[in-house]
Amino acid sequence: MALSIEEIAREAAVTKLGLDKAVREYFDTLDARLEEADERAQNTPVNSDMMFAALSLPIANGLIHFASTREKLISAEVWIREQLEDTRQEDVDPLATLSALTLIYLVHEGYVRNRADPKKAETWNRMIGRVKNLQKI
Amino acid sequence: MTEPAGVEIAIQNPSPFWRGGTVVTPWKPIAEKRSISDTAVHLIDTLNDAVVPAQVDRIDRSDPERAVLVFTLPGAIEPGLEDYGRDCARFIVEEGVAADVPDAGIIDVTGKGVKLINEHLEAWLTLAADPCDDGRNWFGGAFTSIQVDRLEMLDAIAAVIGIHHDPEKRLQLDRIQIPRPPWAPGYLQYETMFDKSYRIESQTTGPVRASVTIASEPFSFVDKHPHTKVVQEFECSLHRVLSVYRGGDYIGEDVYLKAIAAGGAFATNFSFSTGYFLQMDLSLRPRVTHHPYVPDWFAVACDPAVAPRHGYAFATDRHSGHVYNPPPHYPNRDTEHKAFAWRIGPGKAARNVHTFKHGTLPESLSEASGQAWYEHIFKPMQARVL
Repeated sequence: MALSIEEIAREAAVTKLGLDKAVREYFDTLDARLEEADERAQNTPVNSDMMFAALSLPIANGLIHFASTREKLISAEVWIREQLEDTRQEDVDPLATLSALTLIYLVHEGYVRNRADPKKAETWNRMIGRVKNLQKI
Repeated sequence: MTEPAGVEIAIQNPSPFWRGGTVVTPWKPIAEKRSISDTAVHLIDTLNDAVVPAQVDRIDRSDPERAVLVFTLPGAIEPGLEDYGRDCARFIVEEGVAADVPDAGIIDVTGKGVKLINEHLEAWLTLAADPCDDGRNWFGGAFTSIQVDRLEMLDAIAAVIGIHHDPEKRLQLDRIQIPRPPWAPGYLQYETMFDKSYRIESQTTGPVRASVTIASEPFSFVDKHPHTKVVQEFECSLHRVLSVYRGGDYIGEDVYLKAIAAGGAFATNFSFSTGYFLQMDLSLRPRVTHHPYVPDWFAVACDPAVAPRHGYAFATDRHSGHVYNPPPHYPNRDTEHKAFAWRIGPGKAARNVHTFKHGTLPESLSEASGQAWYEHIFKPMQARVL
């Protein structure tokens, strides 16, 4: 059975890149940064989902460079190319793809943590919607 | 005709273009020409009848010959000759202080370290080898925090996300090598500096720059006369003059090795070469620019896709060896991408410039590094007494 995008994102962020320890340690800061990105995207006159991606992908990318290692990144890039074997390889930027998957992982983890909080549920529901919309692009 | 009250000096611009900037020149030839107090000086721009702020830095209290006059040209001066053979501007050095000129920076001595501060930079220099008294005795003389516009450069990726700082981050002169005489056993004396504490030798602030001279705890160097076989012992101390300039995003560093013969019979300066260690998060894929045909400067930039697109640049008046990333025998696989090491060649003194930038690209950083090398190291403005 094919893996869902959330499962692939978890595989990339946790198993391949080893980001789970940093996410556990700094989840409050990471959640706050994503909430800030969502709020800024919400107040922008352009497509808010695109703006959210523009603001939050650097957070995911930065987290990879902060919390992963060279060895893990190399093996994650090999893995991502294998996952996308049907795609023309020159069209694949493995690091950009890993950043997008890390963002999906961060949003899902944040959603699980915050969905029961009445003050935050709306924000995190919206963020889940944003990453779903981005997956359609 | 009355004689001027000060000493006339000429400035040489070695570049084929108009250029301004800072001039650092020995104070002794000026003081020998006329008795001028070094506590308050300024320059008179005779062409424009203007007062130019200046300062005299007593770099080493026990060595007055190291004192320098420092000033910033009030504007660009005309092109000169590459060999410094043409005077391009003239000034008169006088006693007095230019009005309403605040200090260019602050030297803040606190606890076990010292802070060098200007409008952009705030750099924390650790004097103690073990500043936390926890057994980690490898921070002697290290910059353990360097902020540019309040952003921590040594751990910038984490700082942008808003998370922790690496407790091992630092920029450090971590070792030196002293050549032994040809008749001595062993070619070099290796001396680690990271485990030595430093003391403050002197500090100055003025309208152009803020400087601090630090001296390492002493170590021994033993020599034997080739004919008499008499042993001569020297007490050595590495001296480093660290400066921040008005508006600059760099730290200037002058290094020399002072050696005093046993009993204080005489003092001299030994030749030495230095090793540097940098632990700075420049992404998992930092980009090093280091040209083999001009090995005197290099730049290390963050992957341009990673915020805040920051980097470090080094320039020296010696040759810089290969930039290792990670250094040989670096013990931690998880942080090896942050670790850099390089050596610079031997000499009796070294002049280095350490530049930190963010919001830049690898190409722009290497251009800035090359320019810093050209302006501050390779072809600085010079002054001569008329």
